[in-house]
Amino acid sequence: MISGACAGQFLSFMKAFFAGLLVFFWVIVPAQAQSRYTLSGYLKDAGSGEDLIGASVFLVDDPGRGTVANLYGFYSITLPAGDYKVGFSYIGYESQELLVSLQSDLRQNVSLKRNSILINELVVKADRTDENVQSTSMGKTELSVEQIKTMPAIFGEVDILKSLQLLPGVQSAGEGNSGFYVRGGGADQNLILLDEAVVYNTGHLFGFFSVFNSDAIKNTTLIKGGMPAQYGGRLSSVLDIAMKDGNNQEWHATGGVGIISSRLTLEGPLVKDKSSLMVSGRRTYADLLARPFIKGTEFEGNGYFFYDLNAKLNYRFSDKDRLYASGYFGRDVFEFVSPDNDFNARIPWGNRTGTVRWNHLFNDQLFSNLSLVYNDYQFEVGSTFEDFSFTLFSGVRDYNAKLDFDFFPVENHSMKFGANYTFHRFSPYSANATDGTAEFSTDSLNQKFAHELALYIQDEFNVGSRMRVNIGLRGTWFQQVGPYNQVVFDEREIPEDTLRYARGEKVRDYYGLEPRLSMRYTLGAHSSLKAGLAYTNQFIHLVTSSTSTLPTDLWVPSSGIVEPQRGIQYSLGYFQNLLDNDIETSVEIYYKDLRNQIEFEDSYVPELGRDIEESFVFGRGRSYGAEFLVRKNKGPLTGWIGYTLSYTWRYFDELNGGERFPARFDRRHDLSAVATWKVSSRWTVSSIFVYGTGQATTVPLSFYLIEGNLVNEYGPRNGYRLAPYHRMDFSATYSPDKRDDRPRAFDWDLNFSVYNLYNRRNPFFIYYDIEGDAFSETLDISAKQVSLFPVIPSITWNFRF
Amino acid sequence: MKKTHNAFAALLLVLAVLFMGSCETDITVDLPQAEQKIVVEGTIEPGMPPFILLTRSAPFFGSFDPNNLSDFFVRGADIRLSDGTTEYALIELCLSELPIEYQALAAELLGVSTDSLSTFPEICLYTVDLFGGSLVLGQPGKTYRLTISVEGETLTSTTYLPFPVAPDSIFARPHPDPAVDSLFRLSIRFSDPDTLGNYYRYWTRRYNAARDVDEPFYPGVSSVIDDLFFNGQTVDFSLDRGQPRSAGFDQDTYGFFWAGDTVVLKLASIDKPVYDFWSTLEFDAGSGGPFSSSTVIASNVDGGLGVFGGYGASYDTLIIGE
Repeated sequence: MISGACAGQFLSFMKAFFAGLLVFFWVIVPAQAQSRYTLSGYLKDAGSGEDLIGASVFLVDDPGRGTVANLYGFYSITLPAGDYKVGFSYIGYESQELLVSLQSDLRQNVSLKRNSILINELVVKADRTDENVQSTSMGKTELSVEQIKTMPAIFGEVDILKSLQLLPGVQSAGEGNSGFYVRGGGADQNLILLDEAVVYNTGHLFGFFSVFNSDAIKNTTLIKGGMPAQYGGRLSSVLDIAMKDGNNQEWHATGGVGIISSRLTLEGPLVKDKSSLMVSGRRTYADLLARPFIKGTEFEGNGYFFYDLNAKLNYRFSDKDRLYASGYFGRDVFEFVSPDNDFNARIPWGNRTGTVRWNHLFNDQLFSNLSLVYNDYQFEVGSTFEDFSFTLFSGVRDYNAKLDFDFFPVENHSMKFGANYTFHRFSPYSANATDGTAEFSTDSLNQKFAHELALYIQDEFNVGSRMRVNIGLRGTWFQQVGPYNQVVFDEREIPEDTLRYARGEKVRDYYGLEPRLSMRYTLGAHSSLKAGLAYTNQFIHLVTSSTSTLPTDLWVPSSGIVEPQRGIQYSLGYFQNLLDNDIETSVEIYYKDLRNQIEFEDSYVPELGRDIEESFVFGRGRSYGAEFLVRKNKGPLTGWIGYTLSYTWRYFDELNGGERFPARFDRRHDLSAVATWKVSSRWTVSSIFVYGTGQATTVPLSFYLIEGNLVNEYGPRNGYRLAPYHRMDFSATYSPDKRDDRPRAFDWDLNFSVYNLYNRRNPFFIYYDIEGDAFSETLDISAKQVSLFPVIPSITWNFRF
Repeated sequence: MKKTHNAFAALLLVLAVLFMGSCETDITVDLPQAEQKIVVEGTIEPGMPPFILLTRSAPFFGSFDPNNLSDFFVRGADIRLSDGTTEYALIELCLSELPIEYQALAAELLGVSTDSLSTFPEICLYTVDLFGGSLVLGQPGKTYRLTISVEGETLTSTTYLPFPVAPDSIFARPHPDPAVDSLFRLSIRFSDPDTLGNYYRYWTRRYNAARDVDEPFYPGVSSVIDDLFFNGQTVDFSLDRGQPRSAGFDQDTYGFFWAGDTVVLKLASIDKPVYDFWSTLEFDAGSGGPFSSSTVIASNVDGGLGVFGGYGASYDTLIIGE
């Protein structure tokens, strides 16, 4: 292909996009008759100076009018000249009201105080508690780390991802696993951002722990439906995680000592009010603990640990300019040395992200952020066995630049627009092996390179007094470029020829236009109806043959063979708050149609030296369901009950004989209940109960003999259900009594946690145990179920000074 | 690759250590009735008559008694073999009638030792007329087509019998630990033809009178090889000792031969469908547990299961440690 033609195509695409954008502006900016002024500023935590993401700003006398602070705590609202009583509120903080006489543009930074300085304070929402009813967003949930920390956790390891699995519509990837599926979407269809950097592999130790150290995390937002136009690139959900900025008032240390890991976080001002630093680390020591027990056994010589490091630095040049630099580095390391030293292996893997962001305020109505992001995921193996040595590498690496604007032109409109560009490099397995004198190498195999660009615009505004609309459009472009060597096969599947693409030369490109719409219609004082529509395109894919996320999982780009995944989701919800917003209830239904879904072919065998995409087959996915939530927010007893009824189907011509089959994570019933009770000023107890339909899996129905060995003849794909999963956890947290609300020099709490309280043996997997052989009349076949975690008590000590 | 698998196995062990509480319970699985299918296990080698075993699949948990062998075997089939020009009718021959020179191959198909063949006199296989005047034998370079009619069903399969590629040499390599002087690895020097798409399968057989060992040909645990990484090159590599799948892995001796063993290496050129059959079968047999999925075995039989393979075999013998 000639690149000129492609550029032309691209230009016309851009033109169309910007033309659309102009029409958009023209429509929404009405003539301003009355003089209007802008109230803007930052919302911060009074104690630490942390930005309060998503805090509400509203007119006390007319709470329907208001705005929320953006990702950097900035808010802006433009109102007719006049006197207003303005309220500022945020989850877990004391609300403030200010009398504002708006006769000119006004900058007002507001600091809110925490309800209490207790680490494990219960979340009590402040005044404007009907955010869930008032906002246009559907299927959006924010979980605060404080809230998560009072909940029971396996091994006492507080885990954001596992807590999210307790929400309706979000499913766990398996026992103890931090991986999750949202509304029938695959594990690769969740966009997981840590300070705007994409995190490709979110699990440590096969996903049993997530890579997010809760001490370093400020805010977690999950969007499972009605994804706004500012996000894209994945079909199912967005999980946007913000790291703490660090206290810019005084130095603090927080940390914890648990049974398998310890954590320490230091944060404080470099220049008070202007600049702060946060450094956080975590390391497991199970390997050290296990060592004495495995000495002399066949496990001797094994070592495994993981660690995470988070760091963030920010500097406020002025009210108009602020710079952030943040990074994450995590590694899992597995080592094995056989006792006689003839076999050893070292397998490190993990993510790295680095983000530099510059906030600039052009004026009171236009906020901008420029982000430069680097992120990678690497998996390596180095091993030697006698005179055989083997090294292997795979990974993904992105360079990403993003420019985002928040624009508040008039009271009724809050707009976002921007651009996002990523240069991807995908490295499939490249292996080198030497066996005596023979060398085998797959270096000739291709890395793949791709450009990904997205432009978006969205606006949120009221239509009449009852309806609020968020409308957006996202345009996307993806291009695989050289250097790339494409192998052409003959009809016997033997490589016949190679097409060579030079550096930067187009291999294949794709476009997408993604309209997004979500709207709320107020029914009564505390109830509303919402609807959402989202088109999404996904250009990079992860296909896994296993039942959980593995460090060996490979991300692959769209290419000549692999087309982008495309999805559309329709959702509808009814939201009703009761008892002065103490009780939130909601019902949401959704229907999703997913195109170009990818699975491995039926007879897939991993082969080094073969491009993985040659083993893919493509099909369609359909998913629909209903989610019910009742949540109690106030008083000593808080918590929620969520129930999801869902159906998730896959349709592949080449799988399961062309018959539809349930996805592995098809879960008919899913129930979660969470309750936290503040018994006294010292004790808080919390309990979780979960129930889920058994996992769908493929089992052999019959066997046959080949060379005297039993061979599996599998039944329908995912046609068998494991036993249902259910479990109850309990935790109690003790903190020393506080007579007043003033901070203490040294604060601590002790958390006792029991996982799987009634010792349910949940199925992890099943297998057939075959003893004897067919020709000795001793054949004995039995089915076994393996369960992972019995009742597990743990204790964690957390401190802060 | 095996070694990396080992590393992952070790990693799983670490998991097991971490989660010492994990446990296993016997369960009853309630499986739907599976359709019974006919299974072909067929072979044709240069200079040897074709041998076809017909068996049937059986439910894992059902009324079928897997210990009643005669239920496995399918009798009375009409089988035709065509080499592209002539079609031959195969006849049913029971093991008790099988001439001694073909017993090793029959034992290989059944996965039992040659000596124990006599304990299954009732098992029969299909072959050409071994006692008539003109014996039909496999010829490299020919494509064979099998048509089986039995119990109202028709099964077909086609295989190409490639030309044998013999190793340049086979030799023993000592154990990497000099203190272990009784164990050796079998290595070969091999010149691959310079066209891609050559596939191989190997078996080893060993005798050792001093150790009272007389094994039949066992395929390697990973018995098939693709020339993708050494196309057209002359390479040295080691082959693990073949063993029955039920033998398990002894960390210290897996893959090794003992000093004094007489080893016969059978190395056969195969076509892609036969390679796919064995590679999917061995991958499925070697996987299991939470991190794997079911691999559907790629059969080259239409209308049934199993494989009909042309094996362009060559044989080499080596006495270890001499």
